[in-house]
Amino acid sequence: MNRRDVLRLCGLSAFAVAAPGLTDRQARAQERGDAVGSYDGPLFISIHAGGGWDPTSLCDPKGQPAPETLGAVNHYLVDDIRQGPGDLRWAPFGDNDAFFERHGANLRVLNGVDFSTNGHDSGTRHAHSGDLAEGGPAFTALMAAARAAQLPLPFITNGGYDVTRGVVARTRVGSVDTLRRIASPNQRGNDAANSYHHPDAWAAIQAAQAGRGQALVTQARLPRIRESVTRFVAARTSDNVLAQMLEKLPDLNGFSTDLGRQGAVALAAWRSGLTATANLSVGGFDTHGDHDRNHANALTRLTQGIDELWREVERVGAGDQVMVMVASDFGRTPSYNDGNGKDHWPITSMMFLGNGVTPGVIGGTDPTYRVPTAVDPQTLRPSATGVVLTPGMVHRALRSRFGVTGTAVDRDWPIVGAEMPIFG
Amino acid sequence: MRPVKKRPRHRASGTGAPQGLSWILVGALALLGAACDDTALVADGGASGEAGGAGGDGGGGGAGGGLPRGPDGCLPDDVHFSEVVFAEVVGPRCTTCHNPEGRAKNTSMVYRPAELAGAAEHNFGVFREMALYDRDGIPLVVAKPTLQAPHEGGMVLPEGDPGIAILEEGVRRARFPSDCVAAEVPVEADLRGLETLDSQGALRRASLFLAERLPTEDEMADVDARGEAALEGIIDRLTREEAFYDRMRVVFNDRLLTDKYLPNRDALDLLNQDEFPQARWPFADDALAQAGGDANLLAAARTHSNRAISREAVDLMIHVMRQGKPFTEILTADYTVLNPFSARIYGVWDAPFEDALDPNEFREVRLPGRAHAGVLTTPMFLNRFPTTDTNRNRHRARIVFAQFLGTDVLAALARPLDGTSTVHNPTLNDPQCNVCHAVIDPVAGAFKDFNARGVFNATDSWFGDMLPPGYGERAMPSSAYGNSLRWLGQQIADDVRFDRSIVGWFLEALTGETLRQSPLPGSDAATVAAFHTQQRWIDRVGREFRLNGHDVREVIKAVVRSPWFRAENADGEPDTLSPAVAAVGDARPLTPELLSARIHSTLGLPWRRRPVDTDELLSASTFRLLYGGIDSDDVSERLTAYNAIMGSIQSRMSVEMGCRGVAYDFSRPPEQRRLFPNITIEDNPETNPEGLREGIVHLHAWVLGERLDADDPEIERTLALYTQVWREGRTRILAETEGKSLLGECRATTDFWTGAELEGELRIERDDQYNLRAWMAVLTYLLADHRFSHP
Repeated sequence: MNRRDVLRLCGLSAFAVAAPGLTDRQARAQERGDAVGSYDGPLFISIHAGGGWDPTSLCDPKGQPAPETLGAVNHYLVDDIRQGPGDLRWAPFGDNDAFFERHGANLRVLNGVDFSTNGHDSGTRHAHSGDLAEGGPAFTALMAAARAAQLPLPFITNGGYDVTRGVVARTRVGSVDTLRRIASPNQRGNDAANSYHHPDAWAAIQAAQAGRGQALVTQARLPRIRESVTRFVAARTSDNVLAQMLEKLPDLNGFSTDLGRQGAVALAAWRSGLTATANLSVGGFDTHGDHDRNHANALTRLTQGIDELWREVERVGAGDQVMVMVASDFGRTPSYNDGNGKDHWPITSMMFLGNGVTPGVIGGTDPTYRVPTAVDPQTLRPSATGVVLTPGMVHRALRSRFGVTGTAVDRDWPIVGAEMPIFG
Repeated sequence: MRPVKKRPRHRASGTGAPQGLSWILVGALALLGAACDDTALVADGGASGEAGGAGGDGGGGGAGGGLPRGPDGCLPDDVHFSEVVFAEVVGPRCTTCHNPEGRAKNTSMVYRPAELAGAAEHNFGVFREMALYDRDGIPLVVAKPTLQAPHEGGMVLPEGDPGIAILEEGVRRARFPSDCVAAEVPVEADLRGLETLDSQGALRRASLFLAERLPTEDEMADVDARGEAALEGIIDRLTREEAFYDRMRVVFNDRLLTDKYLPNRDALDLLNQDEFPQARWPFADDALAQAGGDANLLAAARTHSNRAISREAVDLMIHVMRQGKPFTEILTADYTVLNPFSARIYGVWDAPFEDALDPNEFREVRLPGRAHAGVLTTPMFLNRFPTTDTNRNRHRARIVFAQFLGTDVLAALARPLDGTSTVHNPTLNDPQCNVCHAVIDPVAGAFKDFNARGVFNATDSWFGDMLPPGYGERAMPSSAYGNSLRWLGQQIADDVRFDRSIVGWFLEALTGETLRQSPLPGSDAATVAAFHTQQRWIDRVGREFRLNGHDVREVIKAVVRSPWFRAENADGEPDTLSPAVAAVGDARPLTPELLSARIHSTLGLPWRRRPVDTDELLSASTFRLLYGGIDSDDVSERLTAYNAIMGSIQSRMSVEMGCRGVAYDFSRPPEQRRLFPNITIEDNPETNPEGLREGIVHLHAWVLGERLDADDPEIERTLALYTQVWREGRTRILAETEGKSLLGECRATTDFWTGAELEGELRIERDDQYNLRAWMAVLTYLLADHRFSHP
């Protein structure tokens, strides 16, 4: 029994078969029933800047008009704010210059996004599910469920908001050395020809396991147990997929950031046709004290990590197939507290890179960083009669762009937000 | 009687839209725009990264549960109030103002948010009291919203509104209470069609989950003879084994996450050296001199001190269990629990330890100058859930609600903020903020005597722009100042929500069933029913927990008896099952800790290369996190759905342990063998076919817990695997394309534990007939099975 048989038996294949937006090649691959490792759709990577970043130190700079007012919103002058293509502006902070000079022309920046919360958990949930109140699945989980539920590693997570609500299995990926050890379970040492069980015996074991798996699925009548057995059988019919992935993995010693390494593994899994989405994460943004120093360090780790990830994306020639979303728990206050830190603030920003997104800035905030700018839902230009950007709108657009809209998981986890051409 | 209306299915919520939010305050939000200040409910550095809940099912449902009813189907008065009067009229129409922070907060009719645990009882009491009053012959609760009496909220129920009749029926019931009492319906009644484990199956599962081992032959025989009666006694004994306490350390750490500080000297470094000058003595330049020149003492101190400080809160909970004390002492104990090493770290020199080098000897100790309140005042608990100048202990308060009161305050009450609000001191005055802060802030105030690092500094002052320290509507008395956390701990211990919360701990640990929160308005019928089914069971076991003096062993026994623990299968196909039955069943893979224990107990060998190594599944450098475990730091949430990486790990384990396990077992005397007690190394399909079959029957029972007949298809499948591998292997041996020697790591040449060389027939290096390698294939096959890696 192959993976598709198992899924069909349990009625789960509808996720993949019904997903719109599949390529012809992928659709044919699914028709043939050889979906394992056959995913050739886009890769969506979600990067979470944990703790709540400060957009005024990044892509929504405020600054102050004169030195005597320093400290109101930021500790830099308006005159020092950098100007990029179009409306793009960034703060003279951390390693921003290098990042925006290299990637600014391809970035979609959303400023003045109203997260409506100051809570870490609820803000993180809002950012990555589009749902403030109830905690629906992360978009990375929804897309994986809609596009790639049948894959061995449909959704790789390195933290951030990775709640699945059972729509798909998430997978942690550890060190490459550890992966190599489990990639070929029957292999002794590094010699592929040296095995514990004779290859014929190994084949007999696997055949018996397949038969046993089918029997267990049939016997299980409690839905939770049947789903558990189904996941188990599907996972176990892919013992060799890790080896395929490792073949495509670059030397991670050449990476200097955690984000870069996390991203390289996700890319290798995607290039092997095993993965559709990945969560990456970097922390250190909850700077209630000594904000400028601590936040500059965190932002530098973030921007250098994104840069390293994107260089790998470009190296493998996948810039038009990979989208990176960068978001955080919420924003930070428009003023400094007694400890020279900044506290939590519901207005924030989000950034997108790749997959042919239309570059440019949508939305904004007033000079005090208190009032978000409303935008026209169609033109995306500022409009007094427009709407303030929310994560719900962003996620409506994401679901539409990545073929989630109209699928079973989209119907099970509906989302409220105006339909807007956020990505062009 | 008016039928109870089913709420429409709804799972979505919009940003700024009222769907999915509280039943109250929605109207107020529309009227009052405001922004919360910079104080948040979650502090930096805390366990906040694990946003949301664990993966898994979407809540499931149990429509078979339904509402609690009397024996003849009547609806009890309290149920009528909560499900009809409150759900359809009071909640949506009155609580907009009549809530603790609303415009009517100073009237006699103030309802609590329905999502808060215990709110239903409170709200029923308020309505019942107010329903006794008339105005000109009209019940006041009807006269006011119909403007037949002055009402600052204006006309709420115009003439002809069906809500009027509902209120009138509520009043009638309040004045003339019916004798309808909800029947004590066992939850099993909701779960007809569920097939459950028999006593023997329950014994096997309980042995693993409680004592990390398989049952003994005596235990199985006892259960065979006496059934459930025997099982109760065995559980009593299991829960006194040392392995049980090790297991509880894992369960409790999943809650408190203080194992974050186990590595290196992380816990010691967090102690304040002004408060505890000896905190880092094992690593001081003159450490050997401080150890009196005793190198063994110093080595032990370096090994055990950090561990003891890191696990102080968990060890206190273990101590309470071990001593059979009321479990409420985990929050009210006026002592902490130290071993010889942590005692010295804290500068305690006079504790009467019998062995100064025994890390497992614990004593109750009161640290001078520190007011104790169980785990709440242990330094690592306070560090693990820290605070900041602006957070003001709210994160700690939130953890208290989540872990000890079974209430996720943010999930229950969070609502959208308006960043443009100009309300002064919004956490106190703005409804969109104080809906949570009114609940959280008094408890946060009770932590006032401890700073961000957990340093004790009793003070009489607290922030004037917050609600004062307290618990619910009860302000902390001045007599409790200086000992405020003990007062808080006692309030929690007196609260029935504590009982339910602790029952929930063990239900989740043993079955994977999490404590369900009150369904949000609009939840589907299955979710509502599943909540009621679970709530009924939780309430009953919680009441018993309080009545028996908070003896957690009785809770554990109740869980083992419960359908969530026993669920095995159903008597119909999935699409024919009731939602209640469909929501039951432990689908989680075993944790790395439990799978590791099962491997060891099944084979007599752990999955590690040398006795001194850490098990492969428990080592952070190998598989602990990949197999779904936690590090209590960045990764604090366990994976509950099996994935391909876990599959590959189990597959690797099955190969390595299948290789090692066969020769090892045959090298033992038959009476000590676990896998092959009744067959010999020479048995094969030609020499003893029936013995071989019986051996496979035993393996299915021992390894997978399947008690199958000798002609069961699964026995046939396994026998066919053995036979195929054996015949093909024999052919290769005869053809000299494969040798007769076992691979080095598959041989039995030394005792794993002692390293002693095996001699004579105990030494197994060759496999001339391919018998052993065929068994290795079978063992690999069984160790890789779903039933080996799942409960």
